[in-house]
Parts: sequence; structure tokens; C-alpha cells
Amino acid sequence: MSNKSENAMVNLTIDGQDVQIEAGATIIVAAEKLGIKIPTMCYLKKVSTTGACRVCLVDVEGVDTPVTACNTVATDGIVVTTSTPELEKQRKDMIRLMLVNHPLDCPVCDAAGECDLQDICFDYHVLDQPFTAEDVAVAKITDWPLIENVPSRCVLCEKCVKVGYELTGIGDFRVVERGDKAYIGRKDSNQIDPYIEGNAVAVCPVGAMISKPFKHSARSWTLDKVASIGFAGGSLEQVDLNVKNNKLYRITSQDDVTINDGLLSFDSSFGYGFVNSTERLLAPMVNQGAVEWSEALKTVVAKAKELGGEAIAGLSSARLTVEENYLFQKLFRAGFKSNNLDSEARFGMQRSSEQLSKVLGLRGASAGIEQIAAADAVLVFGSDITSEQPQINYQIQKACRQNDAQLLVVNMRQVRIAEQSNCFLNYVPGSEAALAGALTKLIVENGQAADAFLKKYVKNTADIKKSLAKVNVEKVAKAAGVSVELLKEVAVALGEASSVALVFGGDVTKSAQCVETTQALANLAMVSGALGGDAGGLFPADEKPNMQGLLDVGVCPESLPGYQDYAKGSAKFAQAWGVAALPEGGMNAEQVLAAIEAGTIKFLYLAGTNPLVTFPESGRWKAALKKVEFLVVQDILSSELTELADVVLPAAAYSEKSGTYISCDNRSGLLQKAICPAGEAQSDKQIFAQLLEGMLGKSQSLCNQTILEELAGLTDLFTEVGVSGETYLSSCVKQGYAPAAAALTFSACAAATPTKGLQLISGKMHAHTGVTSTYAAGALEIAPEGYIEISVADADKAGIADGAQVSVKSAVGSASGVARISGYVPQGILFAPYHFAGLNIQQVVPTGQNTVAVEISKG
Amino acid sequence: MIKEFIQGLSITAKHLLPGHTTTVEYPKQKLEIAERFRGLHRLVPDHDREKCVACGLCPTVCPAKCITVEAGEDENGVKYPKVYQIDMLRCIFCGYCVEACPVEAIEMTGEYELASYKREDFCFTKERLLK
Ligand code: SF4
Ligand code: SF4
Ligand code: SF4
Ligand code: FES
Repeated sequence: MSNKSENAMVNLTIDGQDVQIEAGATIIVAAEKLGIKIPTMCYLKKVSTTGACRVCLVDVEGVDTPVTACNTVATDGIVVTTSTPELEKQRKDMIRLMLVNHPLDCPVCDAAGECDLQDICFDYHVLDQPFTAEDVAVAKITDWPLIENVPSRCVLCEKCVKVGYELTGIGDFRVVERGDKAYIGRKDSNQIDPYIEGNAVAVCPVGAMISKPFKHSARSWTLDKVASIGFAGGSLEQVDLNVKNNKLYRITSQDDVTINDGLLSFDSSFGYGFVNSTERLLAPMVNQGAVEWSEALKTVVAKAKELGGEAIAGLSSARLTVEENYLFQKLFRAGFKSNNLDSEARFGMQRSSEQLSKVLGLRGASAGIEQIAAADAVLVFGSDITSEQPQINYQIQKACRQNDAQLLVVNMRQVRIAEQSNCFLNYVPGSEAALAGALTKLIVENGQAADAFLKKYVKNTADIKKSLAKVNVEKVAKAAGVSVELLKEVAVALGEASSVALVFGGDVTKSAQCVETTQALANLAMVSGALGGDAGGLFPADEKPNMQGLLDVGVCPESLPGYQDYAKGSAKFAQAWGVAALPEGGMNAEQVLAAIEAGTIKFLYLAGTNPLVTFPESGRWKAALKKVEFLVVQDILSSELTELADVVLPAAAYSEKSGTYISCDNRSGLLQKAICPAGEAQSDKQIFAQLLEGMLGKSQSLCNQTILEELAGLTDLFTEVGVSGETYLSSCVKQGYAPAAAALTFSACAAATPTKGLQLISGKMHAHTGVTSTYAAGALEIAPEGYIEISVADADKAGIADGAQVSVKSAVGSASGVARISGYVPQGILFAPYHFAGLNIQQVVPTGQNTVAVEISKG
Repeated sequence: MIKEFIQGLSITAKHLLPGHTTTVEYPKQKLEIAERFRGLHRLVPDHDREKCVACGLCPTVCPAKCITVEAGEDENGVKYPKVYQIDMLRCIFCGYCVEACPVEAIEMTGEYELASYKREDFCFTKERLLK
């Protein structure tokens, strides 16, 4: 690809003003540069132009008829006039034409107040509509999930179609019929599509695409917009919380000014309803009876003092902010005198993060996620990225569609992104590390390794050859169930690309082979040169918004905030926190479970986490939690878990508090408090601070900045602490990643240990995030309950019909739910979403794994 | 000066004579109100329901912010006001709501006898406004 022509500039004149733009840009881009506004209806900067509405007509000197500014490429020396009486007249007629079949139902249309057609009619003083045409009233479509379509309002701008095809890869909208009969339909409305495009509603300039959960609930102009960040997916998603009368009505975003360019995740589009759920915890409870806050806190403090640190353990969550998690570990270590603290990350990202740090000195992603869009090849390894981290998916789509990048997908299932890939390696569970090793070997063999990078940064270059020599590509391919040719094709694509982005997700971090696979991917990243340069990189993806922040502040027994070794750093922290010493030892989640079973842990504190549903071997956790003497549950929603609790502390939901989330690419975003907490709920930060005061008798600041400064003073996590940004704020800046010379380690390659027999995978599905979204009406419309996805072949073999009740049984437990026959899983694989308390698939899954051998039976 | 004084007093005296008073003996006697008088609101019915489509324009324009509209959708997919309520204690009878309504669903009647014993009774619900 040559970049020469891209950088060439052209000069033109618009309304008497000279302007210079890049060659290939359109007239409208030039006008925008000058601050001249040309009216548009079908133009959306982030997608390709449609040129359908002809509202953007302009005159070009020497051209007989007016041209459309949105899709006419500016050529050197042209003289453009954007407004003449004749142009205005023609524009007005274009608007009138749009009104021919447009019902005047603004009073009942949700778009009123933010409708481009309304605005343009007002601006152009369009009061009449002299044209007549056949009335082609297509009835409104109400049977799509979550979105209602009113064809009579549609102006056929195709933005909803294009946002799906060009930006998200999710939507299946398309134009049906032609001419004045055309309307927007869906590709195949028979099959349930687990991936739903919420951005269609956001981009529709009129009220043709309507969000069902929001429908009729509030007029757009009555909503206050509070700039904040999204609650799902480990990348920063800058959004506006639309609130009124202390209620969250919807979440929107803005084009251009946000880093996500207005693109929303499914969760922001439809999954926010849990905030307003009737299941919210409204008052503290002791022994299931409502009490005052002071009493609840006193009970916790008294019990903690009575039992002593060794008998206390706590688990936190990646939904809590950085400040909250910092206070959580401070409360445990300084307050409770216990180092038995951990989080859900134990079963996933924590292990990966440790490996990346060990071999690459890397924490989180090696670069900002926008570098994915600039990469020449993108490898998505073990991740349903579309659902895990939608913002990364959007970057990948951008890379493929705008930069023609090669998309290579390695997954056990036919996830959405696999459909769009150039090459798809559908592997057998247990072969992921070996597959990554084989790819590494092939790249080196093809002579396409990034030798200069390896020479400079890798300390054991000599080992590369040695460990790769042990890899037998044919054997790996056979074990993994993929063809050697395809494997080679992927290797060539990676090798030929000048920049590579490697994205991996839950199927790696939660798997039994997490350590080996992460190391193998690190090898692959080094060899393919992904770690240097300003395009591509290595990106660990996670569904939780503050996974990186959780890891950063050391909510685990082995390290203190900033990844400082616990034993080595405890004296420093003890001094800073004003306590004599920090407790010794410490148990992780697995050990805590065993200790509860053994009766040595008597007091368990759960902050925003639900082991009964989300942890592997959830059945074992349930038995343990029933047994534990004193259970404190701090959460936003009532559940089976809160029913087991001795003390329930109602926490503020994410829209009800402020604090920092750190994304996978080490960016910080500041959550803004948009509404007051439900009932008497308090933010997790307030609760921890009060308990800390109760334990230590010293006051704890609640100011985010003060807490971050304390954290910054004790660690080298941040280069800067302080609120910055115009509308969407950030609270601190982290050091970027740059590998040091001879600092990276090439690890030994692992062999494949392919599983045999029917395997069940538990994981995230597109519509849900954690357990929280199972309280959101929007998400429940797509998936009201858990299901077990099964291939046609396996279903036939077992005689299972679609929708039939089935049971799966593994060595650690069994679960039952409805079967869903689908093309998304290959033969030999079952998939079940982990979010649902009803299905509770995690009972079947052993600790430290996401796949397990199962038997399936009817009933 | 005395002359003017007597003249003035005689006018006063004349008004004291029966049949010359300007006082309207309300409530025994009531004035006929003007056609455009702005009294209690009425929601205009339309077949079996109210004409109002819950567009929210009247609460938007109301300077006293005393109108509450909550929209719903009936079984035919038609938008209607699930809740429509006016707090007469706050209403200033400006009539802006009537002017704003795009479907002429709200009007103001000649009814001005709105006194009540209880505060709650000043809250006019949809049912009362439809009467
Ligand atoms: S539904 Fe909306 S976004 Fe889609 S073509 Fe019609 S007007 Fe455009
Ligand atoms: S008359 Fe005026 S104050 Fe009274 S409800 Fe209507 S708009 Fe509001
Ligand atoms: S303006 Fe008219 S239609 Fe709209 S809410 Fe008020 S009464 Fe109903
Ligand atoms: S904006 Fe240019 S044709 Fe619609």
C-alpha cells in the first residue's frame, strides 16, 4: 500500500474562503473545516456516504447542476457555493419530498426533540407539502427484540444498515423492496440472533428505530445528560447517563467528542435497567431484618473484632471502582488484620496478568485499543470479543473495513467475529497453547519473524529456536482439529502483516491452560512484532469494566497495590496506614473456600460479587456459604446470596456513585454520580470507609482524589493524579508500556492436551454481563433464562429437540436447562452462558477452568 | 366647596338605594362568565378514551410545572396518558397548556369553584379531568 496519494492535499474555495484538505476528502469535510454548516440528513461521518437525501446540495462553478456535498470528492481548484436562493429552494423541496409519506406523529414519536427531520423542517420553515404520492404505509414492526421499527417515519438514510455492516459487525438490518416502497427489514427474522445492534437506534436520525425499553418513558428534552462511562466491557466507553427525577432512563453517547465515537455497547443500549430494578436492596439488614446503618456497621465491626483477622476473608469485584477496591484491601489489611482477600479475577485475568508481567513486563494491554484499528492483521484468540469487549470489536471492524486488515479468528465456537474472519481456526479445547506455539513456529520458519525486535528486546533469543524445535506443526494441527493449510495461512497472514494486533479473552484467561496459553501468546506477540510500533499490540480483553483497576490495587493475598510483593512491601504500607504491622500469610479464593469448608474461616465479606452463580464450582461455594458462621453481603440487588447473609449492606449502583475505572489499555475514566442511591444505599466507598473508621478509630477520606493520591504515593502506578478532560473526565494517568532492551522472555512451548468427548464451555453471552444484567428487563428480553447450546449433530445423536429440558453432568456437579440447537457450536461442544442463577452452569465447571467434559441427557 | 361635597355625597347615597348596588351576591348570584374565561381544565374525550396522546408538550410549556404526564401504550400500540394530573394549587390558569396541545386534547372550562377542604383534592387526575 502506498501512502503517497493519501497525503497529497487539494485546495478549494467554499463561499469565498480558501481551504486545504487531503485529497480524496469530500466537499462537506472541507466545509466543516471552515466551520460552514451544510445541512444533511443521510450523512453520518463515521460510515460511508449514502447520498440519498440530496439535502446537502451545493453549487460548483462550471458544473451545470448542483452536486451533493456529502459524497462529492473535492478536486483541486473548485469553487463551491453552499447557499443561493435557488439552492435553498431546491433543498426545501427535498425536505418536502421526505415528508410525502412521513406521518405527522411527532407527539407520539420518541425522536421528537432530537429528530433531524424536525430540526431541518424548522430551520427551513417547511410548513407545507404540496406533493402527492401513493400512500405506502408499511405497518410498524413490533416483533423484533428490543427495537421497534416504524417504516413510515424512515427516511432511508441507511445509517442503521451501515452502522452494523461497517462499524460493529453485529447488525443484520437491510433495505427491503425498492423505490418508495423500500423499508428497513432484517436479514433473517426467523432465527434468534443472540447479537443485537443497539447502535441502530442511536444513529437513526428520525424516530424509525425506537428502543423498546425506553419507548414513551420520557421526552428527550426533559432528560439531563450526565457525562460518565459505561458499566460493561474493559474498555473506556464514554457515555451520557440520561436521567430525570432521580431515575436513569437511558444511556447515549456522542459522536466525535467521545473516544468511542458515539458507539455503544449492548449493555449501554439496553442493559442498564438493573439500576431501577424493584429488586434493589434499599436498607441494611442484620439477620434479614432491616436496621439502621449504624447498627449494621457496628455488627460487622464487633464480629470482626471478636473473631480476629485469621478467621476473616473477603472477595471483591471488578465492578467496584479503583478507590473502592483500594479501600477494600486497606480495610482488610489494616482494619480487619486479614490478608485473606481475593476476587473473581483469580479464576481469570489475574493469572494472565501475572504471566504477561513475568515474560513481558506488561500489565494490561501493550497499547491503546485504537492501535488495533491501525493494524494490518488482527488475531482474535479465544474471545467472543463482540460480547466481551464491544469497543475492541469496533476497533477490529474498523481495521478490517477501513484499512483492509486481515482478520484471523481462533475460537472453540463459531462466535460472531468468526463469521467475518479471513481465516477461522475452530480448535478443540486444550489445544490453544499449542496452536499459538505452532503459529509462532510457522512465522519463524517462514522467515517472517520480527528479528530486529527479538534481537533488541528478548533476553533469551537463543531459546527461541530450541523451544520451537520441539513443536510439531502437523501434530498440533491434528490435535487441535484444524487443517495444517489453514494454520499455515494464518501464520503467513500474521507474518506478512507489517503490524499485528493480538486480542485474547475469556476463553484463554479462564481456561485450564491459561498460564501456558498466555505465555504462548506472548511468544507470538514478540515474534510477530506486535509489541513495538504505533499500530497493533497485545490486548487482553475482559467483560468487567474495572478489571485492570482491580488488579492494579492488589486485591489478592500475594501483592499489595501497584503489584508490590506482599511480604516485602508490607512494612511500608503498615507505616503509611498507621498500623503496627500488616497481617502475615493470606489465602486466595480457592484457599478461602477450603478454609470455610474446614471451618477456619468464619467470617466472609462479599463485596459486589456472587460466588453462587459466577464462580466455578458454584455448588461447592453454596454449601460453604451456608456453613460460614458470619456472612456479610454488600451488593446492589437481592438474590439467593443476600438471603444467606447475616448482614446485608445495600450498595449504590454504578450510576449512583463516582470513582475511577481503569480500562484494559490503562486509561482511566471517571464515573459520575448521576442520581442518588436507591433507598438508603451507600456507595461501596462510604461503607468501607466507615468500617475502616470503626476498626481503626481514625477517619478515612471519601474524596476520590485524596484516595488516588494516597495510592499514587505508595506505588508507581500513576504518572499523574488529577481530574482532566473537558466533558468526559479522567482522574489519573498511567505509564504507557514500552519494553526495555533485553527484558522480555521467550517461554517454552506447551504441548496440546486436547480433550476428548463432549465438552461444555461456560462463558459470557452478548446480552448479559455478570449477574447484574439478569435484573435488566432489556437484557432479559433477549435471554430470559439460561440455555445450553448444542450442535445439530449432537442433538440428533442424543435425541434432543430444540427447547427440550436437558441435564449436563460433570465430575463436579450437574445442572439442567433448556437445549438450544444452534450453528454457533461445533459438534462435540456445548455452550452455556454463566449469568443465570436458574441454570447455574458454574456448578458443573471445576475451579480454574471454563471447559469441562460432560454427559448430556434428556430431562 | 360645600356644593361639590353635596354633589359627591348624593352619588354615594344614590348607590345606597335598593337596586343600585354593584355587589354581586355570590354564591346566591353568579355572573355570566366570558366565553374565553380560563377555569378548570377538561381533557377532551374521543370515543372511549381521552384525545390526549401524552406528547408531553403541556408539562413542558407549563410555567407552574403543575402537569404530570406519564405515557403508556395500549393494546393496539397507541400511545396514551397512563397518568395525567394537574395540581390546581399551583396552576396559574395561564392557558399555555391549551395553546401548546397539538391535538386539542385539553381545554379550559368556565368552572371556577375549586375550593376544597383537603390538599389532595386539588390534584385533578385524568378521570376527574375527563368529566
Ligand atoms: S430506520 Fe432510521 S437509520 Fe434506518 S434508514 Fe430509516 S431513517 Fe435511516
Ligand atoms: S393553565 Fe398554565 S399553569 Fe395551569 S396547567 Fe396550564 S400551563 Fe400550567
Ligand atoms: S399537550 Fe395535549 S396531547 Fe400533549 S400531553 Fe398535553 S394534553 Fe396530552
Ligand atoms: S446528506 Fe448528502 S445526500 Fe444526504
